[in-house]
Amino acid sequence: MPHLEYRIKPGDTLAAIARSYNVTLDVLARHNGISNPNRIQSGQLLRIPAAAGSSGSTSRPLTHKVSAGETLSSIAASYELTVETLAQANNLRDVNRLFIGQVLKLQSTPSASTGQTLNTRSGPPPQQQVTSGTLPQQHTTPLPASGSPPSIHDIMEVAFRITGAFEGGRATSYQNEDSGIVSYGKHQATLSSGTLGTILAKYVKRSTNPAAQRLAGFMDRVNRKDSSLRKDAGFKQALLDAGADPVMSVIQDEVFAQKYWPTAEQGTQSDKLKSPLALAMYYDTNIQGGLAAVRTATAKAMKGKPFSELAYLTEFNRQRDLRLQGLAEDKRSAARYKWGEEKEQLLNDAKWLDSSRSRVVALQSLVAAGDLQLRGDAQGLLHLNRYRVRGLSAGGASTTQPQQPAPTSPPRADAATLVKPPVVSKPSPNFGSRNGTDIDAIILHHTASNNVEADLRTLTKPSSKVSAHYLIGPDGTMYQLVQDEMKAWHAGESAIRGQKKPGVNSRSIGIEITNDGLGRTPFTEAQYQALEKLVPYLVRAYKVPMENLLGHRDVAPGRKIDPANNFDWSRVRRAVEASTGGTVATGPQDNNTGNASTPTPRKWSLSPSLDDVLKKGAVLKEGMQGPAVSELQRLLGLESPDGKFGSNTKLVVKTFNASAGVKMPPGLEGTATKATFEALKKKSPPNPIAGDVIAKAGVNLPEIARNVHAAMQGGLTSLGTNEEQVYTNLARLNHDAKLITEFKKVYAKTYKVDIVEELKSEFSNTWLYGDELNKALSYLSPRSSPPPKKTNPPAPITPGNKTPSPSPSPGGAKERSGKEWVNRFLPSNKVSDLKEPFQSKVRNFLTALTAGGVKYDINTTLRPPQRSYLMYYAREVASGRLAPDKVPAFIPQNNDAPVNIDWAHRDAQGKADLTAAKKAAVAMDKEYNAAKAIGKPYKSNHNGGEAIDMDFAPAWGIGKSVVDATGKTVTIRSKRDLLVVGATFGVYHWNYHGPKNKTDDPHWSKTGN
Amino acid sequence: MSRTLLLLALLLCAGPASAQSAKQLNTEGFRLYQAGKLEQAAQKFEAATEADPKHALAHYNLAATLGVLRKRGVFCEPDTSLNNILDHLTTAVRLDPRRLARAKEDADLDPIRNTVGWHRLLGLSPARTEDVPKLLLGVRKWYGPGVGVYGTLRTFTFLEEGKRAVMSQRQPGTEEGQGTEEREGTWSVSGRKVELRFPKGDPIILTLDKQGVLSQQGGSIGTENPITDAPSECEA
Repeated sequence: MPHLEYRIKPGDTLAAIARSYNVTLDVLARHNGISNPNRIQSGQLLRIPAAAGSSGSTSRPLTHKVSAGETLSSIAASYELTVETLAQANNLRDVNRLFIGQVLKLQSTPSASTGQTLNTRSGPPPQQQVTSGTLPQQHTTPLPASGSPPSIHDIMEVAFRITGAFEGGRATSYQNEDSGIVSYGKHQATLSSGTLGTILAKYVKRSTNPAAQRLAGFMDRVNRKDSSLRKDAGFKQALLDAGADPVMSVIQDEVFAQKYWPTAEQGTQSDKLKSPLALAMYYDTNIQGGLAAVRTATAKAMKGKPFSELAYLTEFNRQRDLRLQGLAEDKRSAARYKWGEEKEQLLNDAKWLDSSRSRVVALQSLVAAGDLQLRGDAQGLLHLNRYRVRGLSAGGASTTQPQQPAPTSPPRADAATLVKPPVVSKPSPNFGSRNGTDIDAIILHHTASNNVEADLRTLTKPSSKVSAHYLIGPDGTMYQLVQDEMKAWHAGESAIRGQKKPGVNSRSIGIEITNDGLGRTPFTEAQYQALEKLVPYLVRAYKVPMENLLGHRDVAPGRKIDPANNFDWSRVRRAVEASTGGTVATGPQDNNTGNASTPTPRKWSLSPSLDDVLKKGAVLKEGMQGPAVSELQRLLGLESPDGKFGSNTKLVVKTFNASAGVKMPPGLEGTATKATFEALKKKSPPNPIAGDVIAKAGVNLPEIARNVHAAMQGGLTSLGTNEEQVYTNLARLNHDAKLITEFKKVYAKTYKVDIVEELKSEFSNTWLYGDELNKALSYLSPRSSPPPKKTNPPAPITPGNKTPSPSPSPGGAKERSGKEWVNRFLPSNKVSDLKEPFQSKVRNFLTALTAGGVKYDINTTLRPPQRSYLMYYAREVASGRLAPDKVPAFIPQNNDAPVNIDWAHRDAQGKADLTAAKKAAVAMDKEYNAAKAIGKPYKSNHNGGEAIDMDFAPAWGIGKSVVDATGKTVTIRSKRDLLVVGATFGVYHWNYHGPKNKTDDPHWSKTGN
Repeated sequence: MSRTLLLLALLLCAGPASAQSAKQLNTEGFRLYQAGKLEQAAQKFEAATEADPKHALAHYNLAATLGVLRKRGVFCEPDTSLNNILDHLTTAVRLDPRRLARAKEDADLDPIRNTVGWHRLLGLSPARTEDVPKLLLGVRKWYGPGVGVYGTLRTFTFLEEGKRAVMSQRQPGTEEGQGTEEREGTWSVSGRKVELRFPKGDPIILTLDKQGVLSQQGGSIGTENPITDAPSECEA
């Protein structure tokens, strides 16, 4: 049986895939042995069965919607068609000019390809519009008679021009003021991000310009990202000269196209954005950094709402601006605790961040002008703050470019017809601020009385602490008590589908209906008529999704019962549907199973309440609509619960019932009962990694993943990436190759993104980040490959950073004791001179300290036994405990070099000069400057490279938080706390096991001795 | 007095390094609290708990600030409901048990003393049958559900001496204090069941569930049930 293959991408649902290949969900599930359609994995290869036979249709859809980056030949190839056939079928004049979002006909007649064998493809499933009949006219993009739509290349060029205008715009632009070290060129490539290095490497290779030769001389330092280049005048001049070379300009575009364009393009694709403006905005954001964060924030803000591309882009700009503002604030507040150059740098960064907000303003002005096609003014110029750049129309494309229909916005009456029904104003003092929360719900209530005067009194009296936006009297009068923009106090402690935040009062409009709520008094015809005007108006004015048109009882179940059972919801819903074309609900229509080119209007009956299902044995089945269905869909993990129990929901329920072992009578397998809900609740929350915790070393990988992800997404109040949180958590992987591999898997599984890619996009490029990215990535490199320089312990301040000298003292003859001995048998302060496994333990400890913001200064790691011998006896003699002529000789072990020292300062006759000897020993001791306790040779753990002496800033790390080896975050409040943290890594302080004296305070070792 | 306690609490605070902004927000909130700008203080503390949900002190400070606001008659905005205050206080104590000792002495938190949640923190549990009488008395006044726009219409008060009980009831469409009918009787407990007897009429049987919610036998949701430790607020 011929079949297609499809590799699951992040965000796919089985239902969506099934739809796009015109197979039913359960056929697809069965074909692939999938028992739970909600448990599919990104990367999984699906076999798509050839068209489900009965209809005789083919698997190949009739149309294909062009995505960014596609060419006519790639599309043709993926459907096994020739370019000519496609061009002909679509009347294309220029095969190189495709328009993003353009819908191509794939077949001239539907019957032409029946029975055709399809090739294997791994790209996205074709965006299917219809499966039979002819294409509805509004879906095609009629090509203008003159000119043709812009190619992706045209769009890229304009995007480059836009970003170029913001960034400096010229190949020679040079800037050395921020943490990017040196930013250069049209796109302001920074040295710290490595992009400048890539550009220069290409340039040096390709250009014969003298500037290229001069730059070649700098490549070593460029590759090291040497910060001294910031102030190197020769480097600057070479860059400026190279900028005049056209080759440089070409290379700059090339590198940026490769490095930053694909992410931007993929971003627009997965966010289902189609306009050139969207591409330009995503690209510009990616260049600046933070595309992933802004996208996430936007998606979150837009969630559950129907939106147009314009609305989405507006929100995107708002979120981008908020992020920049937040980052600038972060920098400024960080600067408060810093001094000198560091402070300057932070304040400078803040300033740059502030000024960069103007690019968001400029882009938003294009959005506000509705110029999604980047056509510009009459001259074809885009106005970006004080810059003018050529738009798309000037690039040869027609000025009569068709405006793409907004992808998800339903056909809707224009603003002019959106008229608010007349209201009587009765202001209530009981209201508050929505605090920025958008209105996305409407809650209906009954007042529990038939007396509108009493209702009004209560709702407007300060002491009652209650209100609503509207009250509908029995005569149909609509009273407005609280302005829509304000928060009324009608919902109390409630939740929409379990979500308490944002508060229901903050996000909703409350409508009270005067009725005693006993279920006997009918709601009046006048009240229904009022609601039929008011609710559709509110739904459209605030883009409230149908599923959020709720009763108080739905948001406070078990406590509230309003509106009463005799309230006819269907009248209100019908009015809303009539006004909005029935498509207000978010996401794909559940009832649209892909067999009709326009959704068949369907009569939905009101579903029983969840309570009734759980307590009274009510059943949810196909054709019902209501909050209980939404809840069912939510629990099933459907992509966009619309509250409508359509055939799609039915299939998912059926599959779930079967897989969860919920027994259903024949014919009712696709319905949901109490048992279904119980099985759903038992099902672990949709957390694909549950139970995947790696017990090893107590490292909780999902938790680390969560923390890192959260840090990158920014919390509710902290915008942008919390770098420290990323470091601290990644440090917990201990550079362990296995853990890192596992962690990457867990991360990819949970968040459907590669951690490295996400780090790159979060910490990426230009002037804001650079070092941070390297630092973050270093935690993901296993120990065997040493981490980049940045994460190595900082160079110690004292003493000299010299390797131990294996050189013995002058051979043969003994040399008198004295200061010069101190420079022999030198100690090391390098961690790399420690013996394994202690070395790794120390590294892990130090990494955790660095991540926690504790600085350390290593005095000694490996101390040769000879040095111990010299130190020990110098102290003995200096202190008078031992006479110089009684000092024993050093007895070497393990082939160690001898120490030919004359402690007694004997003359040729062998006579000792004890005074001089003691003086020399005192001088030596002073020079060694050792702590009170000195280990005897071969006794000290230092001799075997199993001890480390160090100091901390702040002292003992007090006030900082460090993640210990078990993954626990420990706030250091005392010296003891740090000792305990060290012990978890297997690094024991001198005092750890008991001794209280401070004789060797800097000393840590494998045993504590 | 409570301010001193808060200050002490502030000094003892040392959040994780990753929560720099939470710490700052908490500090800013405390300054505002000191300056008597309680609404703004509550906003800052809340932001701090959102920035770092594990910041015990911010939760505590938020609870205390909301407590003062509630004492001053501020309701709904910000959310000074007993449940909200208790949520934050309980979180604070869970994260840092030392907060409990302070909470016991902090007058800011007086509004929540008569709640199930507070008695839970003190060690009682509605899940234990033997704690039922203690909880009934500890909460003292219990509130029926809010009915329509008229709020809680019915309350039960349990008194120790003589096992006296007071039931108060008013009708929807009336204003608070207007036409309220009060009945005095006695109460007795058997297991989870509470029987209230009044001079006239049938006894009322209430049951305390393991979550600390009372319900009247035969009562219907939305009018009689549920009966909780908090009045209906900010809902119509």
